[in-house]
Amino acid sequence: MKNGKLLAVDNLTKVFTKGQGLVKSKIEAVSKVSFDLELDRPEILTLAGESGSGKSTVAKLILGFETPTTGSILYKGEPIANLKGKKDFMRAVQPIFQNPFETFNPLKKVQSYFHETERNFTQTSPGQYPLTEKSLQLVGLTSAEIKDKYPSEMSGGQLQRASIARALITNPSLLIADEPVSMIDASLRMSVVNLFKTLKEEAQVSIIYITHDLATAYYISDRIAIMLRGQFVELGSVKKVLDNPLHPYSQLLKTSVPAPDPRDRWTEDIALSDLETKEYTRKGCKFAGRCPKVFDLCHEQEPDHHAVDDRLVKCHLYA
Amino acid sequence: MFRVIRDLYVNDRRFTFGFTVLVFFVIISFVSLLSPYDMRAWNAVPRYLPPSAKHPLGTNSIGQDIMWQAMVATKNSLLLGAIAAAISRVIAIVVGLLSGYKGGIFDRIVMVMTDSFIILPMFPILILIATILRSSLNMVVLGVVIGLFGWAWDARLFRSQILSLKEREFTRTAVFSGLSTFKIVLTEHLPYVFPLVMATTINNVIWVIGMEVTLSMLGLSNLNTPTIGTMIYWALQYQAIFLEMWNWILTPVTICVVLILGLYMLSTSISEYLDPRTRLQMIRKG
Amino acid sequence: MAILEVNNLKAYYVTHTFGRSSTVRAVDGVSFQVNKNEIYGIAGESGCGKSTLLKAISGLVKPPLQILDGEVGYNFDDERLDILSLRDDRKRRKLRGARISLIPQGSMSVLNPVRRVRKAFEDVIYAHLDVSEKEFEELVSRHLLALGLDWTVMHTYPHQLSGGMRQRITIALSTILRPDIIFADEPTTALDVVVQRGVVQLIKKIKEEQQNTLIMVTHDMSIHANLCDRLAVMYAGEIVEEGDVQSIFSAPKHPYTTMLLDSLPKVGDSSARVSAPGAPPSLVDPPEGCRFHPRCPHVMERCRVESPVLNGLGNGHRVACFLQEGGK
Repeated sequence: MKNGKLLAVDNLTKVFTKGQGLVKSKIEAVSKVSFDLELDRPEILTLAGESGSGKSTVAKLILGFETPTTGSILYKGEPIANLKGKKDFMRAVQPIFQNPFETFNPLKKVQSYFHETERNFTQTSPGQYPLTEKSLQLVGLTSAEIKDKYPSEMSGGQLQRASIARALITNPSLLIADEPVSMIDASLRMSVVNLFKTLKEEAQVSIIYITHDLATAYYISDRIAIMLRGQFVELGSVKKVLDNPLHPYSQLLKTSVPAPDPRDRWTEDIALSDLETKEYTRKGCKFAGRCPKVFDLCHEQEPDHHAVDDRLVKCHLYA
Repeated sequence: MFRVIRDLYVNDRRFTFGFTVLVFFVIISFVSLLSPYDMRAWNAVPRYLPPSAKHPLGTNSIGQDIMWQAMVATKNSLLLGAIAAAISRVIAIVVGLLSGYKGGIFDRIVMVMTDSFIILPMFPILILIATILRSSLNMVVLGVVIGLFGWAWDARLFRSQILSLKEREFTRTAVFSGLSTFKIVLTEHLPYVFPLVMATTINNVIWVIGMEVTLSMLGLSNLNTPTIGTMIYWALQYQAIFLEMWNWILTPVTICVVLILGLYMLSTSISEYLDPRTRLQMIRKG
Repeated sequence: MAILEVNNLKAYYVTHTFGRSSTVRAVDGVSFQVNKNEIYGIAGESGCGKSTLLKAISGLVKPPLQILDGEVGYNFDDERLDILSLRDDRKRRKLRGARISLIPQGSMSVLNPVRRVRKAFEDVIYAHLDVSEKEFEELVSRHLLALGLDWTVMHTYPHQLSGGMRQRITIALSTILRPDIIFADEPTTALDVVVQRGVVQLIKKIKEEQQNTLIMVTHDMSIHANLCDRLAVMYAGEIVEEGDVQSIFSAPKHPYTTMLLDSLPKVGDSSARVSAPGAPPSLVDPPEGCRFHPRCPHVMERCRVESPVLNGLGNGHRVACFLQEGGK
C-alpha cells in the first residue's frame, strides 16, 4: 500500500491513570500530538522539552511499548498497532536508548546483540557476521574494541556508538533516539551527535531525536518540536524556532540554556513552578501559571495551533 | 566451572566448609551402597555392642550396625532432598518466569493459584497425607509430595525478579534484536534470577531434610527405610537417651546438624558469589 | 586568605573480592587553595576523581576509600583544622552543617521519603543549636522566605514535590546554619534546564546573602561559566589547569581544557564541532607519564615518560603541561 508519509502521527493522546481503588488521577502524558515525516526526504526531527513533557512517551508509543489512548500512528500507511512486535516493522524502525550501560545486559557480551540482530533479521551464514563489521565501521568502532567485551569494560561513548551500530544492522529507515547523549561525557558527545548527522546525510536514515539539550538539537536537526506537558507548543525549522522563538515557553527554554561563556551570564531571575501535577491538570493553556505574557483568555481556553511564519505555535498571542 | 569452585574454595571459608561437608556426605552416600547388611533387617548383628573394630560406631538395640545405618540414612535423606528440591525448583521457575513475563490475566490467575498454595497449612496436610499413605510411602513418593509444597513461595520470588527485569532497557534491546520471548527470558533474565535459584535450591534442600526429620520423628513416614529422621525415631523409641546410648542417638543428630550447617554455608557463599553486583566487580578487574 | 588548603592529597579505593584486589587511584596528588568568599569550581568528566576529591575534603572517608597521603586544612576565623586527622567523630559532626555543609547530588535520596520535610529541618537544627520550638519556627520560616519557599512545604512528604522543589529544600537544609563553606556536588545534574537555572540562581543568592565560600563540583562547563570565580579542571585524578574563569574560557592552556571547550555546542552556533578522540583512562592503571598523552594532539616524547606538575603562569593561572614550560 503506497502512502506518501514515512510516519504519520495524528492527534496522538496517551492518558496514564495513577493510583488504585478509590483514589485515582489521570495524567495526559501526551496530548493531541500531530506531525509527519516524509518518505523520500530523510530528516532529523527533534522533540525537545523538559522532564514531564511527554517526549519519551511519544517514543514509546511509536516503538510499540505503549498503546495510544486515542489518535493514530501510521508507519507507511499501516497503523503501528498492527505492526508492533513484527519483524518487518522492527527491521525498519529501531531504538536508541538513553543509558548506554543499561542498553546492553551487563552480564552479557556486547557482541551477542550484534550477532542476534544479524541472525534474526538478515540472511547470513552461521558464524559469519559481515553486517556487524560494516556497522561498526560506520560508527567508528573497530571489532577489536567490542570483541569479547562486557558493557562495563567499555566507555559510555563507545557503548552508545555500539548501540547505534546494532540498530543500523537491519538497515532501518527510522531511528528513534531517546536522549542518546545525555549520559555521555561532554567531550565525547559530539562524536555521537556528528554520527547522527552523517547517518541522515549518507545512509538516508530519518531520526527522531529526543532531548532536553537545545544546543545539540540546534546543531543537527532540521525541524524541532518544543513540548510542554504533553503538547506541542511550537513546531518548525530548527533555525527559525531557536534563533527567534515565538512561544513564551520556547523563549524561556532558550534563555535558560547556560552558555559555555563567562561573558554571557544570566541576568534576569525567573519564577519557578511549584507542583508539576498542577500544571498538567490546568484548564486552558498549560503555561499560563508562569507565562510572562499571560492574559485572561489563557486561563480559560486551550489555544489552537496557529500557523505563523512557516511554523505552528500553540499560543493565543498569535491568533 | 572448576576455576569457579577453586576460587571459592580458596577464598571463602564458608564455601570451604560447606563444600567439604557436602562432598564428604556424598561420598558416604556412595560408600553406603557397599553396606554388608540389609538395613531393613533387625537383629542382623548382636545388639548393644559398644564401638569396636568390626562395628566402629557400635550397634543399636534393634541389632543394626550404627555406622552403616547412618551411611544409608544419609544417602536416603540426601536423595529425598534432591528429588523434592528439583521438583519444586522446576515448578517454581516455570510458573514464576512465565507468569511474570506474560503478565495480564494469565499472571493474575496463576498468582491466585500460587497464593492458595502458599497459605495452605503445609504441616497438618503433610501429616494427613503421611498418615494416609503410610505404608506405601517410599522416598520417591515422599519427595514428590514435599516437592509439591515447596514451590509456591519461590515462584513469587522469581516472578518479582522478572517483573523488574522486564522493564529494563536491555530487555527492549533484546526485543528489537529479534529475540523470541523464550530466548529473552532464558538468556537475558535467567542470569539474574539464577543466584536466587541457587540459594533457594539449597535452602529448599535444607527445608526438605528438616521436614523429613520432623515427620519421621513423629512416626509418620515409612519407618522401615533408614533415614536420618527414622534413625532418631527408633533411637527415641528404644529410650536411647535414658540408656545413655550416645552412639545411637547422637550419630543421626550430629549428621543432621553438620549437614544443614554445611549446606547453609554453601548457600550463602554461592549466592554472594553469583550476585550480579559481585560478578560485575569481578568483570571489571578480570 | 585561604579558607581551605589541600596539599598533595591522595585518596584511593582499595577493594578485595574473592581473591582479586584492585586499587583505584581516584585522587592522585591534588593540591589547591580556596579563598574566603569566592566561588571555586571543580570541573571534569566522569571518572576524573572530582566526586572522590569532594568526599575526601569534606571528611566523608569510609572504606573502601582510603587517604594515603596529604593534608586538608581549614582556616576558620577562630581555628585551624586538619580534617583528616580528626579522630573524634563528635568533632566531625559538629562541623557538618554548621561550618561545612554539602549539597549533594540527587536530592531524591537525601530526603527521607517516609518523613515530612519538617523533620529534616528539626534534625539539622536541634543537632547544633539549643533553641525553643518558637525560635526554630522563626529561623526556618525566615530562611524559607529568602529562598522563595512556602511554609506549607514543611508538612509535605518529599515524593509530593517536584525535583526542583526537592533540590531547593536540600539547599535550604544545607544553608540554614549559615556554614562557612558550602560544597555542592553536581546539584543541577538531572534537573531540567529551567529548574537548573532557578537552582543556580538560588545558590548565588544565598552565597551573597550569607557571605560563605562555595565549592562547586560539576562536569557542566556552562554552569561553571555562569557561576564561578575560579575554576580547576581535573583529569584522571589530577588537576591539569586552574585559574580565574575568564582566562580559562578565553585562553585555555592545557590541551584537555581546549579540547573540552571546543567540543561544547552552543545554541545559535552551528559551526562544526569535534569530539575528543579516545576516552578517559582507567584510574586503576593510568598511562605512564602525562595521563593525557594518549589523546593529546601536541604530544611530545617527554610526555610519555615524565609527569608534568602544576606550574604557575602568573596571575594565578596554573597548568600541568610541558608545552608551557618553554616547550623543551
